[in-house]
Amino acid sequence: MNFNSGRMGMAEGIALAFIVTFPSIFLSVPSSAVAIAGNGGWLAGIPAALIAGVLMFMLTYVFARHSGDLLEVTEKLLGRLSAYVVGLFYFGVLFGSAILWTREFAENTLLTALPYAGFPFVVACYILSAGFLLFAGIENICRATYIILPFMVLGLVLVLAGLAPLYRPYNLFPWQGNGFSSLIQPMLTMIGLSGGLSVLMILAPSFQDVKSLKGAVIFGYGGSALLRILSVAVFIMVFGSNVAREKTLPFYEMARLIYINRYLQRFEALFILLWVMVGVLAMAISLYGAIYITAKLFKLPSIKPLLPVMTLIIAQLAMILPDAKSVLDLEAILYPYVFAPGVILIPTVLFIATIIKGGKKAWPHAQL
Amino acid sequence: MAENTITKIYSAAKKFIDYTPPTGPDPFVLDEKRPFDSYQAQKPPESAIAKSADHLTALLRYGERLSLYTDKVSKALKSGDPINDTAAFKDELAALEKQWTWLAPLLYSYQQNQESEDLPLGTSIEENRRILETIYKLPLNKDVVIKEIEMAGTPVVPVLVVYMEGLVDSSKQDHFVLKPLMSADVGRNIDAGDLIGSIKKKIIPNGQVHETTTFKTLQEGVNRGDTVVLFDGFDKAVIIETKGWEHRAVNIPQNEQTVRGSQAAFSENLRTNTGLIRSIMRSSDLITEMIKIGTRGQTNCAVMYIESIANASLVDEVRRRLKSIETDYIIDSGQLAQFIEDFPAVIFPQTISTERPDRVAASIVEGRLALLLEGNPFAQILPMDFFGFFHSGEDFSVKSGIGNFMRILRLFSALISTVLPSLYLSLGYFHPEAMPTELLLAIAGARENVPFPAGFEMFMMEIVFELIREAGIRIPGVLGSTIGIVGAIILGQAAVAARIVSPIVVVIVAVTGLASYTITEFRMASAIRLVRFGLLLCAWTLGLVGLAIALLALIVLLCSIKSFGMPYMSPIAPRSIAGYDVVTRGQVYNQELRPDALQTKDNRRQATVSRLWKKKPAEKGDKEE
Repeated sequence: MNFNSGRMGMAEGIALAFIVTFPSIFLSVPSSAVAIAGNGGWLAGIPAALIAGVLMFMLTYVFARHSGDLLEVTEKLLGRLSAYVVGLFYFGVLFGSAILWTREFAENTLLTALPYAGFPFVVACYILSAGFLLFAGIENICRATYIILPFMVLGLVLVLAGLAPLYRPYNLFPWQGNGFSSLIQPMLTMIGLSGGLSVLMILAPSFQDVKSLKGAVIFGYGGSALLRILSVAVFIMVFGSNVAREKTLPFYEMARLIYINRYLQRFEALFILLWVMVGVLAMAISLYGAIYITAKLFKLPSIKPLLPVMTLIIAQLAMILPDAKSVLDLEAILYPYVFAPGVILIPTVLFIATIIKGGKKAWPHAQL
Repeated sequence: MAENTITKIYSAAKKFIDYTPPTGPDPFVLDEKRPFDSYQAQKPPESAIAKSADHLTALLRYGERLSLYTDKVSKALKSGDPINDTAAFKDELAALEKQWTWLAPLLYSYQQNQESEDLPLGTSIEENRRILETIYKLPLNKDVVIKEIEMAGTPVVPVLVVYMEGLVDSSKQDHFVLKPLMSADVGRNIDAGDLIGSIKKKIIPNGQVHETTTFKTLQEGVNRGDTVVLFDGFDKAVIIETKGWEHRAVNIPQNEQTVRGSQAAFSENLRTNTGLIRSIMRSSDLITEMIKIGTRGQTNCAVMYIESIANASLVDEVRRRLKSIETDYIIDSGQLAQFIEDFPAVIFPQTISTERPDRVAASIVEGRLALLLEGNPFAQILPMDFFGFFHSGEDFSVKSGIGNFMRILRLFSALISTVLPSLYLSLGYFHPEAMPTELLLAIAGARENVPFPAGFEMFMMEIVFELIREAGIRIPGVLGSTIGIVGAIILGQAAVAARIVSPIVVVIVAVTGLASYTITEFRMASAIRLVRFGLLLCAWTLGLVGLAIALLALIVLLCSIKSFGMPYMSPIAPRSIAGYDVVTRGQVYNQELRPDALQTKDNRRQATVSRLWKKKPAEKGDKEE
């Protein structure tokens, strides 16, 4: 079977882990967190990042002892049926994320950049771009992400730094929030969003060694989590919870507030370049993961014929929901209550199974 | 049934959906996992080294015994007493001779295991020839010529003439070496006993003639363009000065001019071109392979590389690709590159085309290969990464700060050349709020009387600029550049005066055009020009969203290209040991490693401490030298 997943190292892993967990900052997740947890919403990201990080480390422990991708390892440890269930779950996570991101980024584009464009046209643009990237292969997508990554981080840091005069640190204190119990749902949402990290384990045979996977988790996911927490904190510091919950595009709104001098003002439009790239890359990577799982589950010899079909399905599904509110409602159910339990449960079960059944050091993979 | 449009569309759709496993060989990838390192395999195994040590020990023992014997004989002779026991001396001498008969093959075997260049010259020209063939990798290397002639007279003396094609002046060689040697009469006007002395004194009418007894000095002579003559039965060779490679008078670079560095350029003569490279890189393991290209044209193509550096699998792959070209003839090295590169349909060049021998030499020593085609004054350097196209020949001739400034300026120019018009369109059309108010008002004021949309204006001016550029190249002589400049000024002014375009568009197109001229490689500059039109179209239709998508697609495309198995965006994507010469360059003394992506046999190009004078105090010998 040739899935053309390429050969990747730590740099590609970092880029992959960063990009599949980062898009939420450009979407409505921070506003939703603030709406539920008030000014303390930024705190939800900390336990979420720690839990997701620990879960990923548990998976790297499993992969250090068993070669193959996530489905093959699950089959070895828990049997074929479990592998199918795990495959279907992660297919749902990745495919669902790709659909929701397509829809949300298309909506955002209409709001900020192309107000006169037709909705299906914008969806088509996004999905065609993602499709083109998929044809280039995951290895090249990750390499391109790695090239763009410093500009993303620099752009974000510039925005956060540019807002410094507007910071009100008092807004961050937890007693301004709605109590610690209100943090649970945003925390679960963020754990559910980290389900995209499973791509690392699905594509594990493409990585050179387990060190690359660990590096991807520490630097890629760690960096992304840190920037997300910082962004939400700045978002709350600048707007306060009452205004922040009304903002559907946190990053865009933050960039809008920056005023440096009369020649450098209102340059939020330039950041459209940044979030469009992040959106398309995240969509393409999630879709790649979903297609890879489909091909594995149905034992298909190649993933390429699935690419046009799946991109078409994604475009159709992204347009089904009637409005942006329905998308946010669906997101509020899917991430915390459907994706998050599986994201927590599956790595835990695999970790326990590895401890019980044992396993020798199995890296590098036989097929590398 | 004959194919029609509908069946063709059906077949194309079926081909697109139906998966057929790819046929043909796997794509070539230059990576460390391939069994590329034949250099490693050539290293003698430990058993051979142990055997060599045994042979050397046996020879040393013999030497010791011989030394003792000569001491004994000399002592007996010096004592003045009559030697009574001459039979004992004779017996011992006979034993020594017998031992030597037994040891002679050992000496031969020991010499076989040594590095050829460390050996002294032998008396047999067959043996010397064999060693020279090993040193110069003959018959693979087509630059080195070993010619066997005979000196007339009695006895007839076979002679070996060794020289480097392209580095010697053939008329000088004919008149001062070959003709005198072949017409000399051994036994009559030359003393056969002191053949070499007589030849130096009586035969060779050349001021610079030296003797040598080692292959090392012999190689130095050959590599600098001298002719070396070896005589059968003598363990000495004569080095005769015959240097005569083509230099500066031949040509100066037309397209890659630099202020510093060499001012020589390639010409249409292949041998002159290989000679120019050799005159810079005087290494014995610089190989020049000749491969005939074109079934009818039979054009010679020289493949040059350093055997001890270049990746062997890369050399094999290039040779394989060149040999498997089936075409009538190839007229240009750029055309040749398209026949052998991995992604010929992609507009970005995958080899550097250069007319500068110094640039070729610098690339070869990094572990790259150079292709030179007969009748073409450009060499193709391969494999090449994206960032290499923004390097210039004089980057290392100036201090690193200045070199880096120029490199960053070039990259910035490439960025301006690619995105400035599309950024203007995106902001002007879709996000005017991002522009400073005064600038926006100025643009709006200038555009007030222009009857066309900004996108059309921009496209029109870009095409006019391309027309001027193309016409400037085609119009013969000095007239070309004059018409180019005058045309641009007059057309620009007239277009603004006629209110066809706004002044800001003229400024943007002019800056973009100017920026594109800073890119050192013509084909890369052309590719960027073409990309600019694509980005312009995306920006015109989708604004910044279109620009973002197009830039992303471009980066992914660049990441997916490989230049002869080496990723195009290396050493950044995939990340590898970058050295200090990618976007910027480090100090010359920090350039310790060759590019990692080239997977060279020897990745170190200089010692960690290359400026030994910083560490080592001055010694007595330093002053004497």
